[in-house]
Amino acid sequence: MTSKMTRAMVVGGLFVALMGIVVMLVFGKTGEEDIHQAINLHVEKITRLDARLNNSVLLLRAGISQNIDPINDDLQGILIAIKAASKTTIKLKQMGHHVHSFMMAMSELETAFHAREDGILRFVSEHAKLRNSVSYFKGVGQDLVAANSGLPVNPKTAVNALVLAMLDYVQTTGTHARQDFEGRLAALNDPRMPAEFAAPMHSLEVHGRKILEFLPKINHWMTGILNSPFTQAAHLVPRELLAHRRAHAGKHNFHRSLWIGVAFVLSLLLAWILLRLYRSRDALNVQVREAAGELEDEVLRRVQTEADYQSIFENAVEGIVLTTPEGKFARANPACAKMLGYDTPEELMSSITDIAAEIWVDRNERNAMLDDLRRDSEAHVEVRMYRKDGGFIWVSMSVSAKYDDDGGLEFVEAILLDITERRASEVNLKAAKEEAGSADMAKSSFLSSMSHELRTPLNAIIGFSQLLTSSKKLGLADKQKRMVDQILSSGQHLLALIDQVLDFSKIDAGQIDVNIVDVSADRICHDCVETASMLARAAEFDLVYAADGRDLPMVRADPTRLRQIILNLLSNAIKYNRPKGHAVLDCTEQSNGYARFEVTDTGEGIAKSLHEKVFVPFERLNQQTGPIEGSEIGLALSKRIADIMNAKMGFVSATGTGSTFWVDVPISSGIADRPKDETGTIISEIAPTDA
Amino acid sequence: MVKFDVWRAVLVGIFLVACMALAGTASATESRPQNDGSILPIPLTTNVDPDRAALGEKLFNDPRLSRGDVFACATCHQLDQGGDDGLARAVTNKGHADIFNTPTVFNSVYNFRQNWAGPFRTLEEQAIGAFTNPRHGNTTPAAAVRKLQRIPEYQIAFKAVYPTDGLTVDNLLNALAVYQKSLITPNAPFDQFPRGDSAAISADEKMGFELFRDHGCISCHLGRNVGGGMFQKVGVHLQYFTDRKTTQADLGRYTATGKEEDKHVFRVPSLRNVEVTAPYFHDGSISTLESAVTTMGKIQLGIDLSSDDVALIVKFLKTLTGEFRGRSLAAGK
Repeated sequence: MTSKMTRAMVVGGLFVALMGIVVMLVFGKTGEEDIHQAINLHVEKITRLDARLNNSVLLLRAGISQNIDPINDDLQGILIAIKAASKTTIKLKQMGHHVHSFMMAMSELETAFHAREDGILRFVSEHAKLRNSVSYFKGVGQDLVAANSGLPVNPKTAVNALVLAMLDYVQTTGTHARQDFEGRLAALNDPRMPAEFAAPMHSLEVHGRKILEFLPKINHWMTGILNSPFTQAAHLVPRELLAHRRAHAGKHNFHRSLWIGVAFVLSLLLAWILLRLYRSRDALNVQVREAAGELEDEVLRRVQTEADYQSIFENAVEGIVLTTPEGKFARANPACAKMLGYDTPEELMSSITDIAAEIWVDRNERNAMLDDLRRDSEAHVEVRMYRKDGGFIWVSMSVSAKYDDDGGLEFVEAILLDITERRASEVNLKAAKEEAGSADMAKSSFLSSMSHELRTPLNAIIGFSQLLTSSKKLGLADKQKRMVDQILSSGQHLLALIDQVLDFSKIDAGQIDVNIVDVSADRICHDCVETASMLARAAEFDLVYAADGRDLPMVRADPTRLRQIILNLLSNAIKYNRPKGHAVLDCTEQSNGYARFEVTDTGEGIAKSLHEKVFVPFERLNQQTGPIEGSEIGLALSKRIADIMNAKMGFVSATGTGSTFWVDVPISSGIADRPKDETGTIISEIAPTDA
Repeated sequence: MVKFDVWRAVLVGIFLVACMALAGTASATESRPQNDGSILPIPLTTNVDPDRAALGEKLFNDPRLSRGDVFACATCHQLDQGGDDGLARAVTNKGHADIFNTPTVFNSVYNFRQNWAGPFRTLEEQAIGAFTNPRHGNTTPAAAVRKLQRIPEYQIAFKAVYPTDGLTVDNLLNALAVYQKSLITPNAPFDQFPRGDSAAISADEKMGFELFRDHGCISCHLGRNVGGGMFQKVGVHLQYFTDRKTTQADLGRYTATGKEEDKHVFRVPSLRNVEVTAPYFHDGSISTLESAVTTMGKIQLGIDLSSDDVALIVKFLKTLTGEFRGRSLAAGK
């Protein structure tokens, strides 16, 4: 829309509005006529009810109606109408009318009403009493006249005349009638009246006196009612209303003309000013709009950012808190309050006055953190903080600094994470580890001392068994000899087992000593073959030393321990071989600086699924129920010893084709390079551990 | 228009005065009419807004309208006790005896003023009086409104019943008044009688009414409420308050107007349901209807009623017991 069109529309609109005002002022109604109408209706109702009130009073007085409900209803109706008229008059006043004289008339009317009402109520009250006495008087009189034939004629006539005189007086209230009634009442004490009529006569007199007492009062109230100032005041109200309307209409016409003129001039002025304004505005318009647009965008963006931030702040799981360096809270989010055991952030902020003292368990940590912040503007700490209940939590806190314009630290903003549980689990883990370690040590030392205790008696058993077999003096029978041999071999087996257990536990307990020296591989091999050949022979078994005659290197090892390993491998190769099978010991120099001692058997081989368990202590693989005796820890022990000597152990095996176990021992200095990657047929290898 | 009304009234007046002599002489000799129109029946139904009445009922029974939540309208005006409390004098919010006997709430809409001394023109004004009386509500309608504004249930109810302005002082008073306007007891046997049910009252009861009328009780106890339409001094023929210590309550309307002539003046109580609103008189000092009738005859009419007459009048009075929600008030007592 161009600015010209806008201008035309505004000026056009202004003109239409102006015309509207003029039309309204000239022809319009302002609602005051409706108000006058309403007041008129109320006043009409007042005068109507008031007139009916007089009728009701007259009817009651005349004895035609006995009902006083209409009187009460009309009095109530008049009061309501007066109140309503007054209320409506106030509306006129609120419209700026001068309604003083009219309001005065209404106020007089209300005062007059209360006087009138009071008169009517007192009239009603007196009239009831009169009615009562008249009725009683009439009743007694008629009873006397009608029921007592024994009454002498003269008194009978006297009573009859008395009742008629009473009625005459009550109805006419004339002075003569009163005198007549009074006279007859006084003449009741006729000596001819029989004594038994004394009581009714007395009643007649009492009520007669009451009638004489009530009637003037009733007349008094009646006169008041019929000449009530209220009735006159009620007539004045419409007159006042009319006067007010006339006065106001005149004033109103003058005002109206004045206002039309003023409105017209003002409108012209306004139109001229607007046109001027539009002209100057056009130049600035675009510029201003752009600036305004930018500003609006910026405001919207900020509002959005602020809203986003607020949402994050309120709903974050992490505690977010803004504090002053002096230790006061500036802001805190609900998560933070909850973390520290408070119901709301407000509660937290109002109950804490010094964070360093009341929140931080160690205020020095806070000072250190502030120092860090002043230096780096960011910090990360794990500290303890007090909760509301007095306990503390571990908190991981990422802190960043907010600086004021002078570069001083103004606020510390921190994101808090409750890490109490994590800390607790860390501590528990450490403790559990230590506990487990010490248990292991205890086990090992137990085993080592136990083995020692076992070996002493076992040595005695073996020694005496040997004595028995070798002594010819004793002359043992063959059967006895076989039994002693059994004791001896069992004892020796047990001793070997205990030695192994001892070694194993010593390794575990870190008590084993290895004495690594340069030793000839050939020598080692020969020693082993020599020792094992006895076993092989006993088992009718071929043991082949394949490297016999080759030039073997020197290796770095504990000779005793290396022999132990190779012998273990050889004895296994013999034990777990098939009948008539054979075992081969070989030694070759590897390219990686190791000499490999290799024992190959022709046994069943080891199933692939069991390879992992080969070096695990007390595992006999699939042989648990087999006939071959042996300890379950030989290979595991060998592996441990090899590890200690920086040697490596491994094997190749497949079911049906037999197994090859090997141990690689470092070759003496100068010859060996650094170890290379393992290749070839090796499918399982356990490297020496760091420990 | 206005002038015409006045002249018409005056003309009617003159005509009536002229008629009086005829009427008066005629009534001296004719046989007595059964009911000369002094006692009018209670309408069978009211046309009050049922929603406002329902809300008013809730308020009427809610002690939260009083300070300290101790006192509901219904505390003293118990609908199953004839609309009052059955006690000689009302109980204050401290549990003490108040100075006046509790007037029944039933048919109170037909009383031209409320309470014994008649200080209240309307049920609304009476409610304000009950709110502000330190011995009863001990609060103000405005304070009660503030209290109710905190109760969502009332907020909603008022908005539903008074859509334009909801919970205000005027509407609170209006709801209470509308409810009380619904508490009328039509269909008393005496009201059934003129409707054509000649068996509604017995011969004794009829005779009782005639005594009531002829002795002049009816001079004051008349209209829809058989009373409740005028002020009258207690002690027309014999002074009632001489032989006893006069209390504040005994001063009657004087306590409201301060005028000497209003001493011992009371609003004539309605005799409707009088059977079930014992004890009697402004201070509840009379416990039986027989005693009340005897005393009234003596001090107001100047006659000593025989015990036979008293018994018959009491029988008549019992025919003024109406029904509330289709059930005779006498049934609950």
